[in-house]
Amino acid sequence: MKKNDFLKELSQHLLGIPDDEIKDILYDFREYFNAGLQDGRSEEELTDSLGDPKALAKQVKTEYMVKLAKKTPNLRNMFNAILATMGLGFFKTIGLFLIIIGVSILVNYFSIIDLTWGKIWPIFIIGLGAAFQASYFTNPLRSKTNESFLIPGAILTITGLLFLFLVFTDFIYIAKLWPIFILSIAIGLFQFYYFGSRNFWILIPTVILTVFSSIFLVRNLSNIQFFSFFLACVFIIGGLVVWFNIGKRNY
Amino acid sequence: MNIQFKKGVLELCVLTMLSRKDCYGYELVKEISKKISIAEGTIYPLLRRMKNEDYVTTYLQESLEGPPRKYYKLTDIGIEMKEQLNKEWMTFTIKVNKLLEGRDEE
Repeated sequence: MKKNDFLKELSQHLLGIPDDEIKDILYDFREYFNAGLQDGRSEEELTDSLGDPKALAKQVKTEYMVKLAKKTPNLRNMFNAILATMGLGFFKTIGLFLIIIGVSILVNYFSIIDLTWGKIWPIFIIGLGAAFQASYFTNPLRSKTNESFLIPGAILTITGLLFLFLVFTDFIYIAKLWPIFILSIAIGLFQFYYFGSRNFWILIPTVILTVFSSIFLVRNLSNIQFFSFFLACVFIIGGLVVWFNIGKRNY
Repeated sequence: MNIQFKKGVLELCVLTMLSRKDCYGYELVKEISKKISIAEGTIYPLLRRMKNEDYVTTYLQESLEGPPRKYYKLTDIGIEMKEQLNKEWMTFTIKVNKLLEGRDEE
């Protein structure tokens, strides 16, 4: 590989970290090439001994995430640092699920367990949802466009899981479990709020949907007496939260 | 040799070389790769991390043959780190050697 090809490939794989950081890194490698050429080595020799530019870029990116997480140790940066070290992306997740689907078809083919398309289709939904989630958590630095991926991410993953359960139980529980569909929207919105701009107004539909769906979920899953016990708890805890928050503001 | 193991040793090598004199990137890479076979590029991410952790500072110095070079200089924290890693390395190798030779501690 020639020097310019190496630098080009390196900078392509570095996309996502700030520009001045990339410039700085490329400066270091240009210097390496200059010194090496003066040393009488060829460009091919030098690129060979530097190693794989993709692996190098990954290493640099990981160091950057870790640095960011140390500097501002919020949940998101720490998550990013962990995931950067793991390096699982959108397409890898899709790939993983394609493998799972392939294996389940094979299992079906050899009639080990009776699986039909009618039963495994929710896996596609789960896979897509998981890939949306992964695309955000592994490409954190292009955050602005990717935060919104967390809404379909949560909705698809949770509804997919729910459908998988329903399909295998012949839909007998749908009358009880339907509030989970609504809850999944709330969870998607909450992720969007938490990892995104923390816009207060997003919290309002989130809270409404959460309260609404949990009340119905608890009602469906329990008898009437337990339901009123649950309602009592919601009111008391809600009341306490409001009470203490107002108390704090007065100081 | 195991890659993770090499990476750990690499840090000690870089710190030690810088404790003798300030070096620029290629100089470090060349010296180290003479002794340990490693993808030479991996030293650069390491140097960046050491800079982030304030083990080293950098400055530019004109060179006779072309653009200025980035020199790396050990900080006080870096010196401390070097001593500590050095000590760990020494006790580690002594113990491993003893184990390999089948000698037990006194």
